[in-house]
Amino acid sequence: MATPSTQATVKLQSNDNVVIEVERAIAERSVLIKNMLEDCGEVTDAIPISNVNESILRKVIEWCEHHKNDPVAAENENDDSRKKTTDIDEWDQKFMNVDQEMLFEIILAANFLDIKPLLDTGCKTVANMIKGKSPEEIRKLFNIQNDFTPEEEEQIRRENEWAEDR
Amino acid sequence: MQATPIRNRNFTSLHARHQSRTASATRPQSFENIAPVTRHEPPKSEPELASSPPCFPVSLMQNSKPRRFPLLARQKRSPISSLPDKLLLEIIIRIPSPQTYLALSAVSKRFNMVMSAPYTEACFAKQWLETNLRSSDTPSIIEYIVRYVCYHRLAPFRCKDVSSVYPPHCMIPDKCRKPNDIMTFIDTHRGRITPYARRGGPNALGFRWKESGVPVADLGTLVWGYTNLTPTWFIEFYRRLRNRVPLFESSAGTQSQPSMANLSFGMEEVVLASYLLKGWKDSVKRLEEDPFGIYGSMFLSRYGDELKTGKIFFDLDWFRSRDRKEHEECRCVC
Repeated sequence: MATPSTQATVKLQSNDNVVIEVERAIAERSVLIKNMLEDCGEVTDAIPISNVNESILRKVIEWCEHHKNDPVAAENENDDSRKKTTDIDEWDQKFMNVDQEMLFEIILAANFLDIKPLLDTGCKTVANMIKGKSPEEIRKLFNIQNDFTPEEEEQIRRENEWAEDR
Repeated sequence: MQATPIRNRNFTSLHARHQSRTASATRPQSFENIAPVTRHEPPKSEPELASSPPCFPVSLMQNSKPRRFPLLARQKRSPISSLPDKLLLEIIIRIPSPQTYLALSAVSKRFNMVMSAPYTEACFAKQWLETNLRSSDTPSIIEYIVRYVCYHRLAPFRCKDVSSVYPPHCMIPDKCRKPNDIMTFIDTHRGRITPYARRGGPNALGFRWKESGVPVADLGTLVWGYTNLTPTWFIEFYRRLRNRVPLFESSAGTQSQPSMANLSFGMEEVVLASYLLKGWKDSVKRLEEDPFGIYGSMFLSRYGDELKTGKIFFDLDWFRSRDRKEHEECRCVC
């Protein structure tokens, strides 16, 4: 299978000025980089990834390496089957087993670099973290300040009463 | 005002920040001028204000004395709060159950604001139903609900003719043609209900229309048979449907054939579907645990696989044929 481009690797530069060299195929898991390479042809300079620091960039690259052989998701959003399941495969689960700060950094980076499957996995991980938890437990989990007045809280509780588990 | 040199320095840098943000040309001369910048802080008493550094955002940025501001420090350590709304939405639509969704919306004002938006709810509902439609153990119960709401979402209150919310083989007496009679209608025409069904078991035989003897496939009966929901809940369900802001409603209205792709769903359907799904799963579990018991022997012998798909309980064929014939067959007069 011959690809139009012969360039084997690309250099990515994190916002703390660390240059990481990766296989082009791996870097192209990111739609942002893929489009950039397509537009610019040969890129010899390091591509600055301005929103992502080194540790997160390495983590994202690790994910891309593991998933480099995955079929690229269909263009059409409606046919997108990976969205339609709540399961996360085992490797991804381990991969996402990081502290919250890192997890949300990964989500932000996946969004910035436009790596939809990674964004999907990250968001599912967060969604599963809150599964079955009460508002108070969620606040504790994410360190969120309760800024409701007791009256507002009571009103929301009443609003949601009809949908409680039964 | 006795400002220390440190205060002065901070004061200036704050002012610079403030100025760059607001392009204000007035140099603040007292703490009162700074007050608008500190509006995120809970109101402080006068002495406390005086004792604290006047420009906490700067000192916080410099990480000098974070412990002085427990509230801000805590917020800072909440990475989820730093996500933009767009990414919060991506997380929210992947929440596995409506109960968890509602719990998250009661967490803080920001979450509540994002999650009570009709758009967010509709996105979540769409995703939830699609996810559950795809999963391997999904019974046709979801498809039933999807098709049901597709045609009859607001029917009981919008239509003048109650008959339009029931399959054509159900005979509806004249006295029940007013929308408000729907609960009466369900109560009086549900037919013979066996004790097994009463306990929430899957009992197609128990639900037959009195007049025609055809197995019943109406929403009220399903709700009644598989869940502990009360008529009060049912009324609340319809009240919410009526008040819901229509989103994603196809502009062609009734002209286009509704399909799974362009349906309008909300939390209401998701909540109902989740209850039914749970009830259905419990029923199947009971059967599997006790295949020779009073539930099991009756169903496994007769219906076997149909039980697994839920097909036997919901008259899907009627809805399917209706989908094919488009809307014209609907006797809805709304």
